[in-house]
Amino acid sequence: MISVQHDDFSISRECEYLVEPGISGAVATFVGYVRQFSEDRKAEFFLQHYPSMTESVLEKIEQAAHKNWPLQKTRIIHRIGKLEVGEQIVFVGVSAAHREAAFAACQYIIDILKTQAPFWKKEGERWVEAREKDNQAAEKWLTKETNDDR
Amino acid sequence: MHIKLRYFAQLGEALGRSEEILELAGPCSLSSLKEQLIGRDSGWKKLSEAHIKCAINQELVFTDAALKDGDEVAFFPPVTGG
Repeated sequence: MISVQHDDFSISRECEYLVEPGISGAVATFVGYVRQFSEDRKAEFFLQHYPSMTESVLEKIEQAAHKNWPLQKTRIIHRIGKLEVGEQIVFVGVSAAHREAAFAACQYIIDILKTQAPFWKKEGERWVEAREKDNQAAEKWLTKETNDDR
Repeated sequence: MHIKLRYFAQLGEALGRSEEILELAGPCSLSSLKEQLIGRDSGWKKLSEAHIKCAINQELVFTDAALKDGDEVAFFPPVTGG
């Protein structure tokens, strides 16, 4: 399930959603936060996105994770709009029978999201630049997917 | 035909707009649309920068494509969410 929203989320509530009692053996989660980016306390942090494309990209990432690993549930929440330093930005959670699939799928989802989902961060007056390290992290998974399909 | 154009993040700020409707006289490809936009003035040369991505109807495109009436074409810099 995916959500793109301004409202904050509760990690414990999302974990409850992910766990299927007696069936789930593992839940892995990733939470991203707004880091302090300026000495200026009035500097604003803002997240822009491309409505409708965002949702379709996130759904595709979720489907690909289910295809690649034996997962039970997946949950992606990404916040948008004006956020404060220290606030939660993104939640990725997956449940599975065993930890290997849970860890891998959780990392896969956030790595692909960071390079494909149309979100842009603005710190004060400055738009954040994309990092090559993020591209490499996503590329690693995508190369693996192509090889596995052969 | 009408094409809806959208520009995001620093690209939208640099171009001074986040969206517009463009009326085209006849059939048009993505590459000729881009050429037309880049020809507006020097600020629009940004669209030809290698890192600028393009989506047609919310799908990323990497090659040229024919546009049809009502299409939405978006240009944006590399994404930075998560």
